[in-house]
Amino acid sequence: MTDTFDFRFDRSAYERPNNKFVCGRATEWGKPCARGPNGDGTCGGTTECQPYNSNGRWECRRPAQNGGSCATGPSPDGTCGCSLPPCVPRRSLRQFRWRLSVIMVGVVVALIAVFTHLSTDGNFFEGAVRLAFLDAGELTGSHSGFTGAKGCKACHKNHDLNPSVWLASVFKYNDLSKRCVDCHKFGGPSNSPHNANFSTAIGNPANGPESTECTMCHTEHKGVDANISGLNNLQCAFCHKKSFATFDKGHPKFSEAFPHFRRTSIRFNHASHLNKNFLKPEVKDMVPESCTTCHQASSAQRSVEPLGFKEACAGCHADQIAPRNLVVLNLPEFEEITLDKEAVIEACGRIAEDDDDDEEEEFESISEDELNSIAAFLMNVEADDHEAYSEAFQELIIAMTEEGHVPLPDLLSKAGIEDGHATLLAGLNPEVIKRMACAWAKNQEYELPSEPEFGGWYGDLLELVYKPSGHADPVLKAWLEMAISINSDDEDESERIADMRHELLSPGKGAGACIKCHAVSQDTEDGPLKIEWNYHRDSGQSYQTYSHGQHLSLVNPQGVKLADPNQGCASCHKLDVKADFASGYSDFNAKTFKSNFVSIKKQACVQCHTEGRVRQDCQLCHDYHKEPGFTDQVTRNEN
Amino acid sequence: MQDEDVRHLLERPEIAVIDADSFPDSMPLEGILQNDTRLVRFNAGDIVVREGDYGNSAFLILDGELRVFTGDYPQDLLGRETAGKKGILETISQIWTNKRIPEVRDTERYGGQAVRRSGRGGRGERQDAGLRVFVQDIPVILDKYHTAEITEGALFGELAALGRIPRTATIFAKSNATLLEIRWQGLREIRRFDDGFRTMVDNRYRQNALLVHLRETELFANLSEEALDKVASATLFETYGAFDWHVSYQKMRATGKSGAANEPPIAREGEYVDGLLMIRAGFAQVARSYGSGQRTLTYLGARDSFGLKELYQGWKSGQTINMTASLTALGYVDALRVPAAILEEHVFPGLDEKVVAHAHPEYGGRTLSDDALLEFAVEERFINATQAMLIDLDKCVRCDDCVRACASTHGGNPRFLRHGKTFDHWMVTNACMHCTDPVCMIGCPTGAIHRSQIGGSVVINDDTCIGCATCANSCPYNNIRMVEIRSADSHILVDPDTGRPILKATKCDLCYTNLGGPACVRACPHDALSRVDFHLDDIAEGEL
Amino acid sequence: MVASRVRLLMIAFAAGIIFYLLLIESENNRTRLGSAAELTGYWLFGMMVFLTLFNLRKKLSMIPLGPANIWLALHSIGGLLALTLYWLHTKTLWPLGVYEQMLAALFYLTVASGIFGHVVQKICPPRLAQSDIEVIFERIPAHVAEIRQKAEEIVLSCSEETREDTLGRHYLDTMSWFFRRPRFFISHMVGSQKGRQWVRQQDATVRRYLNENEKVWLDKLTEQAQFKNRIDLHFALQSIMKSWLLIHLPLTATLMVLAVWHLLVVNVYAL
Repeated sequence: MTDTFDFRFDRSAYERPNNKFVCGRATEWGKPCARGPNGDGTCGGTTECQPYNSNGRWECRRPAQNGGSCATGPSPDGTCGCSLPPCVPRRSLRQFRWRLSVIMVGVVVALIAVFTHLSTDGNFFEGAVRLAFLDAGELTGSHSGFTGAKGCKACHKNHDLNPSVWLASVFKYNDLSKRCVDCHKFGGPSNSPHNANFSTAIGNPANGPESTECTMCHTEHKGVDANISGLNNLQCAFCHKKSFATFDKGHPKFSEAFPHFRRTSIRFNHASHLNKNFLKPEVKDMVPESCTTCHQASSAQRSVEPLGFKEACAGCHADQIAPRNLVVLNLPEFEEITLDKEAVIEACGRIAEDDDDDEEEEFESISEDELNSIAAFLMNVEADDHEAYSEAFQELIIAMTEEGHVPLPDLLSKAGIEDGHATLLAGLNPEVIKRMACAWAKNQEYELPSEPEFGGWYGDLLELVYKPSGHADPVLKAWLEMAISINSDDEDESERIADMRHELLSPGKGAGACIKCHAVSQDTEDGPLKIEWNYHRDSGQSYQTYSHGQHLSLVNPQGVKLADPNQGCASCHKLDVKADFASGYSDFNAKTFKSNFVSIKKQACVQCHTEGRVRQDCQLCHDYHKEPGFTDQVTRNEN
Repeated sequence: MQDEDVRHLLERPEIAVIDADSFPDSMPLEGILQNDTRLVRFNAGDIVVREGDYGNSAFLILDGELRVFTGDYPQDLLGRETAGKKGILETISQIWTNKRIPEVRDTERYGGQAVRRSGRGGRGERQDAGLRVFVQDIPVILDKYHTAEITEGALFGELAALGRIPRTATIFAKSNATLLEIRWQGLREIRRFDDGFRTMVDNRYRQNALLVHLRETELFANLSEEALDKVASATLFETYGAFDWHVSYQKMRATGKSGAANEPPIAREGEYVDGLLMIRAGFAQVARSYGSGQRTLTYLGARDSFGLKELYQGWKSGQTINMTASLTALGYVDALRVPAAILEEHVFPGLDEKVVAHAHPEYGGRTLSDDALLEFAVEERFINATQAMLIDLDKCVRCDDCVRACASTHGGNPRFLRHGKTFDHWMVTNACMHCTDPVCMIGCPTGAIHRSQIGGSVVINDDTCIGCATCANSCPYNNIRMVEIRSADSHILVDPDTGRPILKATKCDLCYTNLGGPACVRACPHDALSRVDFHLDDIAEGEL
Repeated sequence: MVASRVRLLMIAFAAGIIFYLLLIESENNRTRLGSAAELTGYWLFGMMVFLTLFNLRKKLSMIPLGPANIWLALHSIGGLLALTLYWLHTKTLWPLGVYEQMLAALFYLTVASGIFGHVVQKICPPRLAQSDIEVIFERIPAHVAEIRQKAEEIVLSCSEETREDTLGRHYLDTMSWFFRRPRFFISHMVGSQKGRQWVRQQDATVRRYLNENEKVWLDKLTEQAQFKNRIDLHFALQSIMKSWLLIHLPLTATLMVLAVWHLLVVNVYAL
């Protein structure tokens, strides 16, 4: 490189980049002065030296590096002879940069102050301009439509406060979620996961928060058309046991029993019916054609309820109900006959044979050995305790002869059945009672005139019986309900209740054959029993959604149309012939059972719900909120 | 000097002992005394020589009593800097204490050192040359500090004058004294022609310094006392070139006559090797002829030697091997020569070959381009540098952050300029290089410029600088700048006696009082600036 | 490899790792049903504060706060990291809301100006070094004035000695414009040789009207003009290297003010 400039110390003085000012001559492309501007911005180069008075003569004192003494020398009055007109020093680039920064900062601060001030009410600026320095983006259409009048304050309580309070709220926690429930409500608490109080651990909520905020998943100000209720799979998976990316890749296997988490409320063994019972020639005409004959799936969502008894089962099973009678009372063996003959005769009329006979006759006791369980319970005695019940029972008989059915409600009350007598004894004819009681009292062999074929109360030689009129007989239902709900603190009584239950709830022998098909369940081990009269809708799984109806139009990968009545259902619901279906009903625990059907595996769904095919996000099959709804706040006129 | 004085001198016993006849007609003793010596008068208290200064003259006491400090004494007596490294608080306080007005000085600090005009300058000397620092309270000094007496007839300072060694002691006049100051040219001539004088001076050196120097040299490290003595007595002293080489160098550059061809040669390529050359001071260029010119292979400085490999291999093989390269003095070289015979007798037997290899790195295998930077450095005498500021112009964005950083550590005043000689994409900036041979230090009347106790950099004590510009003029690289100082209200301070602005010499001081070392290096965001010396291994391809 | 490049790569690598870790953490945070935007926002703000510290470091060179070249490497890489953090924070290239859009615009402009400056600082210095002269920017007016003076002397001397005014008139008509101040700014900026070409062309233009004596003076004038052209190159490139910061720093100041405002607003309305 060519060195063309003079580096000598007396020709080249220090450059001072920190100087605030630059010589004005330089800005006009002239030669800058040697001294440079003064610190206050005035020209420092008007003179080249400070002349010195040496013995009366003024001498030039220009420094050597600026050229040494000048030729002209100072003026006679001592001013520099090489004066120059002053320049206008200009600020250095760095100074300019500093000023520009300060100005721009000032402008921004001023704008913020002006516009936030304008965003209070009662100003002539309208719309978004007012909020320019606070505007974080548009609300979704639904929110902005309903919050318009209240504005920002609908959700942000700190808006529009005076500046010092506004600033102080920087440090305070802002509970936005509280405002959400002004308008949104749910089937449970809004701040607990799934809006529910889970009693059992599902998944692994150890990962998840004990209480939730709406803002954890939902954020606003994302634009008019933003989807603020969409979640991604990872968010769901955070609380639930396994964290995974997609349904096809990481979603846990469906549980062993899916979707049969409890036994059905009706004890219908598909396997035995389909493979055995339906094949019997005598029922050929009544056999359902296909699954969909009993199960209407085309409009079904998650549950596909079967048709009721009348449509689905009555064809074969209707006849089985009537033969199973309910024996309320039976005539037991007495220890001693204490019947007041006179009373009997008075109530019932003369005994046909020898009513003058004063001899105590030895009865050929035509009776049953002991009380049946219901009677024992009602009488509050041990079934075989002849001594205990003899007298009471005989008194009962007398009462029945005199008053017909009247003693019976009392009997019920005494046994602890406080109400429901009307249903329990519905249709009870006092004549029947009397006749029966008289027959018992007289120890007559009493036979019914004809076989009862329609339902109702009747009494015969040994028993007070109720014959069910058909399916869903209300009296029988009431007796069964009573049997499972009655309790006693007394140990003996409890035993008797247990016996009664045992008898009534026997699938093979129980009255009405109700329990032949209807399951009796107990939610917890010591909890109350429940007879499942109706199809059980699984509310515990209410967060899962599945629509049978939407799937029926499809064809499975094997080419079978899912709507095909014969084969469609079997694509997913495969009969498990080996399962021991009956054993599931041997106890009251609805959860210990074996389903007729092989559980559905994830594979069934993954065939279509996989990458590149149908959507497979969590929200497709799972809901988060329980019964989401709105409060009246939403649409209330805010004016 | 007047003829009268010369005659008086010749009569003095110390001078009379010199044999005037051994001097040639072209250079008679009287002539030397006339031109190369002068009578200098010192008042009581004047400091004659300062320890650590570079001096270029010896002194003969003609009359009076002088004292030399033999123990410790305060450095401020010499006009040296007494400040130490800044602490962290002082460093931080620079944020608000740095001034916007250039070169503000607190004049209260001045006057701490006593300076007066005593003694008379010689003909043609500078106006300021008569200024001397003096010791103010002699009895107190004598009482407090250990001193020894030097009286009439004593000769001192010749080692420093001849050998470019800093003065080893501080000497001041106890009473009014008259000294004969013999400058180095005169000393050299007298020594050259008068055996007695030479022997005396050489013996002094041998006794005082040579043995120590030899013992520290790797080559002689394992010798016995006896052998070492023999080597010492056989060693010859040689000087090449001018002591104040910077003057001649500047003249040469001005007239365009620079280059090794015009420099004093020490040894020539192809010549017979008659002894090992050990350089004590100065720089010498090792070169081979290449094409029509001389190609620099490397440069040697103090403690380097030349010719060892040739001698050793010659001794081993029994054949004579000639010089493989030329050695030329760059300005000035002070050397010792150990004769070959002594080496062969005492040193080579039992010498570890590694030492030989060590002393002579291989040169060669490099292209002309590889060595171009070195040639440039030799030509410009940047080889003198220990801390040259090198800026890579391919990286430098001309942001002046380095200048600003320098200013921030010096009260708002930068101490270098971002211009300087350029070579390819390198610039050797005009910032003090803290030379091995600091010629700027020669001639300072007050001792303001000195080597600092902290770190060894060359620094100027602002309080004692009188602004004579000797150092600025001496510096061959234009790295010292004189500045007009101002008061706190930005008026230029003017000397009331002359009406001229008061000047102070300023230069880079390597941030010797600052935490963290040189601020310029730290401040460059683009890695463009570095402080280097110009040895080969520092200049790798594209990187420094 | 050159030490500075190794250092830059190491810092870039470290920044990449840091970004990756922050990404993972923010994703975790989102799935942890926390507010990822809050977390990434504070990281971003912290990063931006660190970046602005660079300016402070330059003002405090008297205190040993670490070498500026490391600070610059951290600043450059940190700037890119801040950009990626910005996208991690906003999850969109362009936000909604007026003031957030202003903030985004300022942020992008600041980063863009920073990248521009970085590129400029890589390109210009070698071009300056290759121009065969080196001149201090603040001295350019003095040099230009000096050259102008010399040129005028040449032209005057030519007139005096040769008694012809051809060169003089050409100078007044055309050349004086060139010597008045640095010219061909844009051409020098983009690396074109237009200035040199113009000088050569002017020389060729007037040469045919001059006699041998005058041609000697023309050569001298052209020499001065070419020298000035080199100075013009320095003026152009050094101006750019000084001016880009005039955009970067005020933008940064404005950006930081608005960022602090954003911090306040978010804390008042959302957190």
